[in-house]
Parts: sequence; structure tokens; C-alpha cells
Amino acid sequence: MSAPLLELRGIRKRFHSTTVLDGVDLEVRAGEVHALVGANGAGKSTLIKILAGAYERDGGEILLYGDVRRIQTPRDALNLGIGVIYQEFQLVPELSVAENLLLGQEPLKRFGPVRLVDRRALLKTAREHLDRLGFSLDAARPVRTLGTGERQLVEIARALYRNARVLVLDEPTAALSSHEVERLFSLIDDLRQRGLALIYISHHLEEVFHVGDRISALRDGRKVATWSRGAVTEHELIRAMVGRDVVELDRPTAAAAGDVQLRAEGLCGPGFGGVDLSLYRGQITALTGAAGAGHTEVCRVLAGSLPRQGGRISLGGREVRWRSPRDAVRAGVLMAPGDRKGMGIVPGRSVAVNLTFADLRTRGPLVDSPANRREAVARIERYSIRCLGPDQEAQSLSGGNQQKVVVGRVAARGASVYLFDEPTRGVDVGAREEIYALIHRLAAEGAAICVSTPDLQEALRLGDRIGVMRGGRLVALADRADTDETALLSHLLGAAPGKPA
Amino acid sequence: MTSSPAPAPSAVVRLRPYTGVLALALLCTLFGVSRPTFASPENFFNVLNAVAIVGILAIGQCFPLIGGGFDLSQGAVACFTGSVTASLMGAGGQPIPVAVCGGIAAGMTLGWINGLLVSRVGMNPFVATLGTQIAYFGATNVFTNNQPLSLGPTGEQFRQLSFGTFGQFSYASLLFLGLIAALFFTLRLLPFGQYLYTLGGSEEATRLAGIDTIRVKTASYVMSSGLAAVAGMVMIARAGQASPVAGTGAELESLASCIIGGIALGGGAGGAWHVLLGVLTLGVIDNGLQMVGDVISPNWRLVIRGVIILLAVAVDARARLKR
Repeated sequence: MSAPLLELRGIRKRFHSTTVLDGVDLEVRAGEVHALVGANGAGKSTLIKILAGAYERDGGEILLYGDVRRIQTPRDALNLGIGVIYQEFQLVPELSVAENLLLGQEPLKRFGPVRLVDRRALLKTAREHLDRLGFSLDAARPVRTLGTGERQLVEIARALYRNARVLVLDEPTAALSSHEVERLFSLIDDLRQRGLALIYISHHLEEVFHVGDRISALRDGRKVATWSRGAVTEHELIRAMVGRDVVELDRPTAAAAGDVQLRAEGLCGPGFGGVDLSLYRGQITALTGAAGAGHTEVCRVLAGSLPRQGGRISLGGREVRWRSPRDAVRAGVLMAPGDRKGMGIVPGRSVAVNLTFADLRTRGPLVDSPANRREAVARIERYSIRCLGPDQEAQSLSGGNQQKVVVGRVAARGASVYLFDEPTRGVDVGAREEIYALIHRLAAEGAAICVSTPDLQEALRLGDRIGVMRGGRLVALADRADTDETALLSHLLGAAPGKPA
Repeated sequence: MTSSPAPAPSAVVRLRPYTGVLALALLCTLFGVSRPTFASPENFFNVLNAVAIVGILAIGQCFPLIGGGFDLSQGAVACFTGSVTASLMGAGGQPIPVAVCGGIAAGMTLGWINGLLVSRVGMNPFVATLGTQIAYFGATNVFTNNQPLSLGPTGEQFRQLSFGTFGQFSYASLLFLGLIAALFFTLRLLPFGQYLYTLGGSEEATRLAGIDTIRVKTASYVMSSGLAAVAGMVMIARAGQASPVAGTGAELESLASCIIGGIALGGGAGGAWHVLLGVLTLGVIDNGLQMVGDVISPNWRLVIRGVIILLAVAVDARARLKR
């Protein structure tokens, strides 16, 4: 293999009294995928933000082709050919694919003293670029009409348009459907052949073993080790990430289904229709599907967060028509939203407020602050939320702990139906197990539960029954014992004849 | 972070809560050194009395602000309710309590309209309250036929609200301080206060928690206009009549006070303390500049005010960037 294209040496970063990165070395060669793993808070995000020029480093150096380079602003990074594809895409939804691709580098034409964007040249350049990459994307389409996988392609195409030699992919499969993941992997292969240096960050170890030529693990701001693929087992890698053995908590017993608690018949909502689904007491139903298949929307309609556009919902045998989440909450149907930044965590408020505001303890008309605080402390303990204390701003917690706050706020209230939308998105291995255990405990206590997840393994792990959605329809619904990943995947991809349950 | 604590706030973030106090202290020192009368107890009560009206408006304004909106119709509401109160007292010959209740009820009704436009219709608060501001001023014109309304025979007694004193405190300043205390209590101790903060922080999270966000939001505008009505009463007590142009621009003064005090546009933060601080800062600037009027022309008043507002917002923006 060649000399490293990119080399990070002794990168250090402190946020005031906390050392986030403590001398991290990392090298990536041309034509190599270097996978980077680590629990939330290990420093992965900080490291790539330094590489991208979004943060200034406090120490260490960055070398490209053996030369020390100054990267202090995002512009520096772009000019040096470093492209970063973040989890949250940096696209302007109202603009077209072409306009996004060439944002800030639009071809201009002169009209006397005025220079205007040459729209024809813009479209042409974008089309040629997409063709060269072999991306089947319509350059004229507004980005807002694209799915997640297509948006990601636009992001990658944009980085490559700017002549990226180093491409960082941060959790690129987090919101992708299985076949989009396959497409991404073949694209990564292609980029590898073109001689790019890729850094691939993921929580999914299968992916890491699949795409990574080398794998590095970070823990608490330090690099634990770098291995070649094949030189490390999954178990060793997890141990390196968490610094301890992860005990996978298996389900105590396969839950025996109780009565139907919530039933949807012919349910229609934004992006889905004709869904018949029953949630039984003491049972977990997992809904999975590709991004945009409608599983998230089903949950949100059941929780009153999106409008029901047709069909019936009945709860305990009685038809309900809720117009807001408030109606659902009062009837005992609670949802933990998947988009924790937009719908879960209240920024600027403490962990304590975030855990208790939904069910404030009051004394007469007044808020009983001491009681709420005691409850918050108890919940922090119960849901193993790692924080400095109840007064820490919830926003400053790691993703996994923020998610535990959101889930804990809901789980602590006591409901007959719980809906969890992507409960472990962007959550590290340890926190994921804790969230699974919590959901199992709620089921064991007799609640009817529905979990929406794009992750098939998670669906199999959590669900007593697993439903697969495709294109807004529920195409399969089976007991866990009667299905496996292959079967689910073929339903999800539409490879097998879909049989609505 | 799995186990390591989150980054501690930087110096500018940690100092942010105190920059307002420091600025106020600095201003007081400057004025106090150059004009010893500035530091006299009498002058303190002067300032307190002078800020009462804008202070009461600012107390109202902070409700929609914390909830993530704002209210541009306050001045028009104060003007309209002042006229309603004056007409009940003067032309209607009603006793003061009836007139006061009528005025406040009128104010809360206007606030309820604002609230519905923002929460139920889903209008942007800027557009909604700009529209109602114009309409409410127009309604005042119609209602008063563009004439000042007299307070009638009970007017002299009513004017005590502005001119009466308890010890050195004017009733108006006592009303302001009492309402500040009530604000503190409401924000800290009532569930409504808690929900206002979570609403301003994340509307969707609050809605999903089963909280009636429409009601909380509407209530914030009802509070804003209800307090604007109270301010409108102090205005007519001070002027001795209800003018159809009173209150013009008052909403900007109240917004400025809140912002100087450190209540960010966008919501989710701030409190009674910030309102008090912002109101006093503006009051001290006005009062101090009057005293040094022979050195600094009073024409500079607005420039200095503007600069102080920009400084306050700049510190806030800086603190956010540093995070």
C-alpha cells in the first residue's frame, strides 16, 4: 500500500476543563477505507469536525501527502480536498440538485456590468458530473422531493465536484434502507478504486467489517488501536470501544400476548394507507421498512402527532379520534419521538426539566419543585442517564444519553400503549442495550408496544412480531419465530410476494 | 459522552448572566460620578416611577418572548384599553373598579385574538401582531372618533395611580414591582411557566408530551395584552386623559427592555430578573442622560439606547457562538 494520503498526528482538543481528544493519531491511505468506531462521546465527531475545519484543534498536526497543512476554517478543508458528509445533510431543500451541487461555484455569464447565474450551464455541468459518477439523479429536481438515500448521493457528488481526495462519511447508513445501503457500499468500492481516502464512521459493526480495510477504535478521546480487517473480532472491537464486556441482555421470556389494546383498521396517513395493525398487551410489535416506507408515520398517526387521513383506530375496543398528541396522551398512548433534536429534547432546559415537564408534580395550583427534582434524580438513576447532575443542560449530553432522557420521560409516565420511533438512532452499543432492556421491561409490565426501526436486526431483537412496510403498505407481519432477516429483507425489498397480514 | 462530563461553559458563557448587571452598575457609576444628584435616593424613586409603564409592558412582553414569539400590538392594546377605561369612567360614569375591570377584559380579549391568530391559525407572530397593531389602533380611532377622552369626575382620584405615593414609592412603581414579583412567581411556580419555557425551547417536544401548546401559546398573548391594558391605565392616569395616539411605539420599548435584560428572541429562556434588569437599564440611561444634558445633547439618547441594545444582543450571540 502507498504512503498515507492523510495523516493526523497527536490531535488534541479541550472544551474548557474537559479533554475531548487526547493525542489521536490516524492515517488513511489513498484507496483505503478506514473505519472509525467508538461509543458516543469517544471523540469521533470532534475529530472529524477538526478535520473539516469546523473546530480549531488545540494541538497536533494534519498532514496531506506528507505536508503539514493548516486547517482552520471549513473553507481551508474544502480547498485541500477534504469532504465531510455529516449525518445531518447540508443541503438547501428548496434548491435543485444542480444548484446544490454547485452552490457557491455557479457558472456566471455577463450581461454588461451585471453577472448572472448561467442556469443552462449550471444544469449542464451538474448533469455531466452526475453522469461521470454514474449517479442516476435528475439534476433539475428540487432536493426537497428526494429521499434520504438520494440526498446522500447529492452530498457525495458535491464533495467530489469540489475535488475531494479525502471523504469522511459520518454514520452514512443511519437513515438508509437496506438497498440504499447496498448502493452506498458499491459506491464506496468505486471511490476506493478511484484512489480516494475514506473515513467511515459507524455504530454498526457489520458495516465496519464489511467496508473497512482498516479499523480504528476511539475511547474517551484516545485511539485504542488500529487493526487490519480480519485481525480483530467483533467481540474484541466492542471491548475496545466500551472498555468492558457488553452483556447482551436476552429477553427473559418470549412474551405471551394478552388482549388487543390498540387496533388500527385501514389506517391512512401521510405517506401510507390501508394499514391493519393490532397491538397486544405485553407484546412488542416492531415495524420496519426502508426510509420513507411509512413505519415512522404509522407510529406518529397512532400517537396523534400526524393527522389520521382515513381508517379507524380503537383503543381497548372503543373507537378513538384524536386530533393532537394531547388526546392520545390522555387516553394512555405515549410516543417517544425518533428525531430527538427536533421533537425530543427541549434545548436550553435542564435534564431535570426534560425528564419531568410532561408529568409535572404539583401541589394545588403550584409546581412542586422539590418533588420534581427528587423524581428527576430517581429517573436519572433508573434510566442510567450519565450527566453531571439534574441541572445540566440536556442538550449538552451525548446522543445516547439524550435519547435515554427522551425515552425515560415517556416510559416513566405509565401508559397502556407505548410507541417508540427509532429508539436507538445514533446511540452507542451500551446505551442501546439499556434502551432495549427498558422497552422489554415495559412490555413485561403489560403495556402494548410498537417500535418503528429501519434496522432489521433491531426489529428481530425487540419485536415479538415484526411488520414490514414498503411504499406505505404493511406488506408482511410475522411472529419472530416464523421469520428471519432474509425473509424480512426480501419483503422490504419487494423481492417476495407481499402478503398483508 | 459516555462517562466524561460535558464541556464546561466558557468564560463568556459563564459571564453572560452577569453582563447585564455589570453594564447597569457601570452606567450607574458613570452617571453617579459625573452628577452626584444621580445617586440620590430621590432620583432612584424617580427612575422607578419613570419606568413603570414600559416596565409593565415588558412584563407582558416576556410571556410571548419566552414562548418563542413576540407581541407588536402592545402599544395599540394599551391605547385601546386606555380609551375603554376612560370612556367607562368619564362618559359612562362607572366607578373605578368597573372601569378598570372593563379595560383589562378588553385587553385580554384583544390578546386572545392575537393568541388565536398565532397558535390556531398558525400565523407568524411578527405578521399577526403587526396586523392587529394596525387594526387595534384603527379600532381606537373609530371608538374615540380621534378625540382625547376625559376621565370624568372620578378622574382625579384615578390619577392617584400615577401620582399617589406610599412613602417615597409612587403607586405606579409599586404596581410595577408587585407585577415583577407576580411574574417571578408565575414563571417559577406555575405549570404554565414551565410549559412556556418548554414551548419556547421545543414546541414539538412539548406538544408530544401531551401539553396543550395552543392554550399555552394563546395564554402568553393574553398575558401580554392584559398587562398592556394595565400599562394603558397608568398612561391615562399620568396624562389625565386617554389620547388616541398614546402608546405608539411602546411595544418596541418593551421588546428592547426584554432584550437588553437578556431574554433572547427565539424563546426558551429568561425570567423576571431579566425584565427588571432590562427595564432599569433603559430607565437609567434616559434619566442619566437628562442629568448630563448640558454635556451630552439629549439628541444622543436614541443612539446610546440603540448601541446598548446591540451590545446586549452581541454579547448573547457571542456566547452562543462560543458554545
